[in-house]
Amino acid sequence: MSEATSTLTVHEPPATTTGIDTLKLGMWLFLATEVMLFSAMIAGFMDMRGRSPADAHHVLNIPVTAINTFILICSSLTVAMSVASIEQGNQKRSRNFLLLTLLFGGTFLGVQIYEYNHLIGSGELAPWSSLFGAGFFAVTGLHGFHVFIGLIWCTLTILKARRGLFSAGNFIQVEIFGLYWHFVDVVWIILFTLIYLL
Amino acid sequence: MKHVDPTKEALKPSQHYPGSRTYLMVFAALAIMTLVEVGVSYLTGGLKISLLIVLSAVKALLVILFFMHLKYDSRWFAFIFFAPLALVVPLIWISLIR
Repeated sequence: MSEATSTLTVHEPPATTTGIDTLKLGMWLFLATEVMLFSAMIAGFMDMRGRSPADAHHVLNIPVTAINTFILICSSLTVAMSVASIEQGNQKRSRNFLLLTLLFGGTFLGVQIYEYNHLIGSGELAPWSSLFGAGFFAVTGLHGFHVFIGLIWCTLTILKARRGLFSAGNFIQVEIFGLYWHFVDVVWIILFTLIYLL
Repeated sequence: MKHVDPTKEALKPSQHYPGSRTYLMVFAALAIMTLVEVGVSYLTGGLKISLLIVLSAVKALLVILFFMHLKYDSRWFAFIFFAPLALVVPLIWISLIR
């Protein structure tokens, strides 16, 4: 195999009896538990919403949240592009896409904090104001916490990338972070519809 | 015929991941569908709920299949991820009909 071809040979995990990367398997198992966690929260929220109907269109700012949703989708794209870049051995490009992810993720969280401040400050909606309010802050707060954890993870991944720890043949940690970040995006896609749009 | 060891085949999970072009197309689809969703949310009637649920499900699937590489990775990951949905769907359904 030529040198050029060998640099394009991407992530090859250590041999396992199943042939499946154990790190990635562990991440998918973790994500399966997250599916159950968020599903229980969402079911709880929908039940609370049924008991305490609220006109989300009047209480919540849909245009701002739609833009925030777009920002989170942008962050998913930048993570995917980061993985694609390191897969091709382009460390700098991969790192820059991670930095953009940090920027988009931070903006998303900033807008969410602004939304919380506005809703509670204006007295329109608070965790203690109604069942809808309790459910809204519980579910979006849990998601926001996941974004916060993702931002810390992204920062640590960037620091590792700066030290040149990732390459075309070794980028599993970037991929694992990407799985987490995309999952957080998937959860928001569902929450945006169920909480804001329905 | 050359014998293919499935274990060794599974050891090369990333070699067929989609490239930047696919990611950009998925991103464009997600952005357009988000815009459509916002428009649909101002409609009234039963069609609104069905459309919104379908759109968000398609968006979530696009991210899972392409960005998370589930379309290209081991089928075990798909099984692990989707198996809890067998419990989730009835749970959400019950919360919706109450």
